[in-house]
Amino acid sequence: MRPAAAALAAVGAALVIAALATAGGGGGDEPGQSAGRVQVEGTTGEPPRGLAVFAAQGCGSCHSFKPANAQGILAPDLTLSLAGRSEEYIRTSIVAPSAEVAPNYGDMMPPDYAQRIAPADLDALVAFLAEGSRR
Amino acid sequence: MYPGMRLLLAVLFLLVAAPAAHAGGFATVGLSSTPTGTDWPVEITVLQHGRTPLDNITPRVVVTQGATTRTFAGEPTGKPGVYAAHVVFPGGGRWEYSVRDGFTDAMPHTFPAVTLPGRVASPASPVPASADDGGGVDLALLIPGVLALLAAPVLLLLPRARRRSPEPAL
Repeated sequence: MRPAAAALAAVGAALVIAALATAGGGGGDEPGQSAGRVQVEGTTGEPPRGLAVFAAQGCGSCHSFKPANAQGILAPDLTLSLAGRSEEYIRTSIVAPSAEVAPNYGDMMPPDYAQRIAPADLDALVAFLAEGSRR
Repeated sequence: MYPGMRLLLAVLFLLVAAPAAHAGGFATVGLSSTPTGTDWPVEITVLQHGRTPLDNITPRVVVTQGATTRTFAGEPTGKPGVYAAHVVFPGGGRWEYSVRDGFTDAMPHTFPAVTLPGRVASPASPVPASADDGGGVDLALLIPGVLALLAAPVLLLLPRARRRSPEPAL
């Protein structure tokens, strides 16, 4: 078989196979997308619980934090300010934010997150922040 | 006072006052969930300074995919500072979304992009959420594929046909 004809046949076969493979599976899906599941950018598998807590509490309205695509500018960038910090430090920063106020920022953060966030959710949030600031 | 000095003081005042004014007018936005599919009912909690529920505003969820943008307004739920929006993404694929709080709208409240199951909506003809997203054969791939398969043997036979054609008599 001539090379050009063989290449044309191979391309044609690949296109037909790709077209048939998309049938019944959501033809326009993006590469790597699992059928029927929502994929959150920057995560694999199920979205971390801490991300949902971060979104629910509106943390990103004031703080920047890359893993949450948060771009708040009123409070410290958590990607930087939490880098290298312990989970205990992060927990204290949430439940007692006045304990240590970042330089150049006011003591603006509401002090009642210990009451607002359920203990299990707080654990998830701390883990999410710790993991995200280690990247 | 020299005119130049006045101007300098005015600029300095603006530089100092602008961030303070901005900080005094901010609101936080909390979402009851992140997108769960192309159909996403969500409650938006808007708190002034992260503390005081804000009523009588209209927060909006803005979803974007390339040139396609849709905006969904939140309706009061009766709970202080809580608004309900029913977001319907026009199709699957990667979507960015953000919330305008309706208070200052100074900055959008951003969240991680999501990739939703289902067909990617064309900007020219968005696929309704209720449309069948189970998928059919993708004609954009199938038609060129079949044409290429048909063309391959023709390409193969063409030179032979030329060779077999009788030489013109001189």
